[in-house]
Amino acid sequence: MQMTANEIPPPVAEPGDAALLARLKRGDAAAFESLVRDLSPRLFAVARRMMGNDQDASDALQDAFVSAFKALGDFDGRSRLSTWLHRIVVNACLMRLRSEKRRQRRTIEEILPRFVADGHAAKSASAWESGPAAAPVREELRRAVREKIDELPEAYRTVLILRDIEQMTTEQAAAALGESESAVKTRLHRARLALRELLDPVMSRGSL
Amino acid sequence: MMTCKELIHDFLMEYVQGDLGAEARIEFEKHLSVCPSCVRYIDSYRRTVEMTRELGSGADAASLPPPPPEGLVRAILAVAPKPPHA
Ligand SMILES: [Zn+2]
Repeated sequence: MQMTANEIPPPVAEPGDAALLARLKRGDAAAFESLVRDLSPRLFAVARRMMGNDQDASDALQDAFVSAFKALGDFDGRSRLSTWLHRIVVNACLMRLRSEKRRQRRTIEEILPRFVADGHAAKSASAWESGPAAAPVREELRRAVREKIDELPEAYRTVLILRDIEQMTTEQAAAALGESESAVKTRLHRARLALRELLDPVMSRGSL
Repeated sequence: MMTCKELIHDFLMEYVQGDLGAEARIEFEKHLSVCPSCVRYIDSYRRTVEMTRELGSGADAASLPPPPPEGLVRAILAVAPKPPHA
């Protein structure tokens, strides 16, 4: 998973990982307390983003910690605890997304751009607002993007999150979903096109 | 001539990633030179990807959603492994 330079550092510092891990493996209650309290806000945010609501995110986070506690004995400490847990949370979310009969959203075809018979766009694309926006507007936009991602059909939303937010490679996303790489590519593109349509009313010039 | 639909459905992602073959790229850009709508569309597609990526980067850190409820943290801690002799 790619880490960007401006990402806030994970709260569990690397040198402390080994000591913390040793305490966790001994079943030290204080160590579990600090692990869960330090990491759960970030992990909850990841789960919230994938699941789309607090209740499902809570369930997935709980699943993830239960698996992590079971697997702790086998954790070799070669990756960061935070990275390891992040991956477990993503997997727990994928499991839930796969198993649950989720709220039926619109189909992707209902959202995708429309074309007339000769292949021309049914309506001319509007110009989007550009240039640096003030902080409150940027915050507003981030909220809009999160909300619109939540409106995408499940299969498309998941791929978009894994590739564009979690920054997995096509190969990693394909492995996580048990799909072919070409299916992941096609779905990612359609997810982006659909998200672009959903954002269009918010972003068209003059609407901010 | 490539249509708007072909350009957007079949070639746009690879074009934006710089992965489009030379021949298709020429066709693609020929279409853009006569179709301002597709030029605007590509801009909005790029912006969509950028804004999505921003959610995963530190840019979104200042606006993390609310922390997990205390009840959830306690529920998780309740199932944490205990020391073997406890
Ligand atoms: Zn066009």
